[in-house]
Amino acid sequence: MRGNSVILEVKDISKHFGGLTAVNRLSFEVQEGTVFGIIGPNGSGKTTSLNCINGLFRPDEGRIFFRGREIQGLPPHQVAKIGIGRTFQVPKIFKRISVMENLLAPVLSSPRTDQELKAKAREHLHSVGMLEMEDRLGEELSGGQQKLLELVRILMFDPQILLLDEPFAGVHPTLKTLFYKKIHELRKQGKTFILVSHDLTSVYALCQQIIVLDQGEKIAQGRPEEIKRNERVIEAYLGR
Amino acid sequence: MAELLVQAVISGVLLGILYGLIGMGMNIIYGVMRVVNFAHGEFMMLAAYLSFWASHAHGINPIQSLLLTVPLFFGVGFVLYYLLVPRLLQAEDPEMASFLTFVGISLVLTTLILLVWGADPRSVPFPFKRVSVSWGGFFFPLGRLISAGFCAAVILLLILFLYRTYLGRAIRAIIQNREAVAILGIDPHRLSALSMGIGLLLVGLAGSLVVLSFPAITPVMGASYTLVAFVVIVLGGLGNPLGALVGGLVFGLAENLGAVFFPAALAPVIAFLILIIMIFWRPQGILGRP
Repeated sequence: MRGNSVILEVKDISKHFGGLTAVNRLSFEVQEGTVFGIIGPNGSGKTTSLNCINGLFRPDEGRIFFRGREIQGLPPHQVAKIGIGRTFQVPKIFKRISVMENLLAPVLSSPRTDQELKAKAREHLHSVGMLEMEDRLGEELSGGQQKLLELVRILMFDPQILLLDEPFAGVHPTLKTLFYKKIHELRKQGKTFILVSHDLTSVYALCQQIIVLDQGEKIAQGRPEEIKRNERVIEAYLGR
Repeated sequence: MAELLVQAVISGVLLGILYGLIGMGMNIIYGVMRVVNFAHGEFMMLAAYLSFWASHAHGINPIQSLLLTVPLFFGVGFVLYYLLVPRLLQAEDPEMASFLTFVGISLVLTTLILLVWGADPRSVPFPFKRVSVSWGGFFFPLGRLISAGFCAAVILLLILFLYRTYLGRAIRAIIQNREAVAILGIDPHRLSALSMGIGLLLVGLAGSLVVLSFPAITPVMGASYTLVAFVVIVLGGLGNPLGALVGGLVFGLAENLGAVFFPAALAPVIAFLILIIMIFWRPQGILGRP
């Protein structure tokens, strides 16, 4: 683990949709090898921020740096290639091909043999308890299993940062434990996470640093214990 | 009567394989880009005219002319994607924009052929010795047999490509979820351009081979093949390349069995009736998913 160096820097990004400002002059830095949380009420701009980072949206203003390289406006496939993986609230798996094929789909060419690639895929599946499901179609998996599949699928191209959008929403507690375990294990290997979630218990348990968004603006930043006590955060969530 | 029916089934299967190949090209394009190539039949007609030209001007037979049409049509498809499709997909109404664009291309191709080769029907001489192929008392038209054999081989290669190669797997993946492919580091435009190239390559190949089954070619034949391809992919399942093969066989059989019971001119009506029944009974097509 390298640690303590900034791997991702978001500087004053804004994103507007017509008259609506989804993200307004948002800035934050993510340290390498940490889990960075983004929380906030519905419509606060969490997913839009992730979309700007991974290239699904081009921010109207501001800049984003990954290891010092400016990346805003790059298309999603290039962002993925430089080492930023992404999962979605509604998993974007390939439902009509097998679990194994889902894992091999990102591979267009490889110096490794098919057997080596499959062995790597099986290793990832084993780590989340899905080894026996490799021949099942994506659509045959439960919602939680689809989310785990989406997570291990992006690991096939070995990203340095993983952007996880609501990974725990609607997930069975047993699978949630698997998610926790996998995140801890990957963090030990030096991976960095940006976690967007409504599940505050999970965010507080996993994240070292958290920002809170409300109506597209950052209203707080700090460690979990600081965020829990922050008056503005309580106000944003409870509407006092 | 039974002999007549078996003969119709033989003809239907032989033609159905050709229709399947035409439909597979359209279905790959539709599946990957969600754009219907309404100039599909006209591209096929262009390939047929190129075969005619190769045969008359250079004595090259339709099978040999594949060496020209296959790379040419792949290249045209690849370039055409970058020229048109990304813009069409960004239009306010992509379906209408792509419909108008491809109908426009079909008109351009028809006009081009009229200008170069005129309005009279042309015919491509049969390049092989005419021998009667029969088995068990049933007759197999040689031209259709050769054409179906080539098409079946190409379909087999295509299936191997789609199910046994990295690129084929990526094409099946992009058919299911374009955005997911992009977030996995694959350039969706490059993959789509390749798919469009493959789609047109298949129809170019079918155009070169169709003259073995139907030697007379005219500058208005394109529209009817576009219609056939469209019906075939709706029957088989939109976006499913294998569905097109099934749809092609159903269409070929319906057309040929229809001709046993009804006047030949009414035979296509039977195939279209099956389409209408399918739309009500199973709108997703035979191999499609709801």
